[in-house]
Amino acid sequence: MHLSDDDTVQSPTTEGDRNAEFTKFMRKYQDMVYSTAARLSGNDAQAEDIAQEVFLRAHARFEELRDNPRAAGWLKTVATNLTFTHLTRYRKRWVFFSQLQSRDEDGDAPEHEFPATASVTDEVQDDERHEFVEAALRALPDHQRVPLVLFHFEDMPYEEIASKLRVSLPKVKTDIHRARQALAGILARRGITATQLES
Amino acid sequence: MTPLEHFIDAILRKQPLRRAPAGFESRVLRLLAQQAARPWWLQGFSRWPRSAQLLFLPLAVCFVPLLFRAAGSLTALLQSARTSAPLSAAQSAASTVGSLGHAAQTLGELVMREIPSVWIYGGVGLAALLYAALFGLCAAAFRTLVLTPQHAPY
Repeated sequence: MHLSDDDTVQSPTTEGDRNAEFTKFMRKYQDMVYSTAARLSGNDAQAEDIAQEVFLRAHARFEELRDNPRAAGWLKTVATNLTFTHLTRYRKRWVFFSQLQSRDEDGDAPEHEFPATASVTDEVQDDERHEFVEAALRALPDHQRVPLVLFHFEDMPYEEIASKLRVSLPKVKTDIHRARQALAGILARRGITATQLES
Repeated sequence: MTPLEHFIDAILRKQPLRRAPAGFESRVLRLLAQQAARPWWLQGFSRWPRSAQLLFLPLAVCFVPLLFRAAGSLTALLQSARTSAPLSAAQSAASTVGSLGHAAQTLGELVMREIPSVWIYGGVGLAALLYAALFGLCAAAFRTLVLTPQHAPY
């Protein structure tokens, strides 16, 4: 069985076939891998590097992944782990620069200015809202954004997040709660509320 | 689920996937082509041909005694040359290297001849044990000091 039901390509016999097959594989999963890396890292350039590394590794194991229904899970796990490595490696540099910004004592999200449009509290179009939510996510500090993304996008339970990040369960819950509050605050200032979302 | 959690969950679940940058696919394919164009010995060990992988270990094991033997031969050659002609700077340097090799060979032979093999194996085992202990200690220190919650990667 291939990765998708409509995929009728036979097993590749030549290098060219294999490359074509891998290109198809990459097209199918590149947005997912890039999204995972971008949301976790909060940095598009880093996310591109991470996604690239994920597919280089996938290419080395393509024989195993091509017909594997768990390929998406494998790609997500590798993207997540590589992003953690990336965040750890660049953390000291990141902290240095982040200390140049003013912060709350708790290390909560700073007050960011987002580009406003003429109709701040009026109806916000879907595309615009999606972009704004992504920007709001990027504005969260790492220690809030990472567990929030793992919980809401990756469906990871609190316990697993705590284990993966090697922090206590209460800290994970606190960080996610604060992230939600910070995100809700940013969205509310943009006119995105629960009522507006349901309408 | 609290109203806040419900609201954020609803907002985030409605987010579509981020689109990978336009040149992403070609960038990856270009890197793969560059990787494939490199000779196999410049690639990772796992990408070496199976025969090369199988040959590598015995060759690596044999390399050290072969090096000693070559050093000894070089020393003998240079000693014979020294008696027949004055040494140039290059010959002098080569002679020094050869002497060092000869000394290492002599020391190795002495160790193998004079020290009981049980001691040698015991010493090697002890060194391996100390190496493993040091590795474990460093790993534990890294996990404790670097990957503690306040240094967690987020």
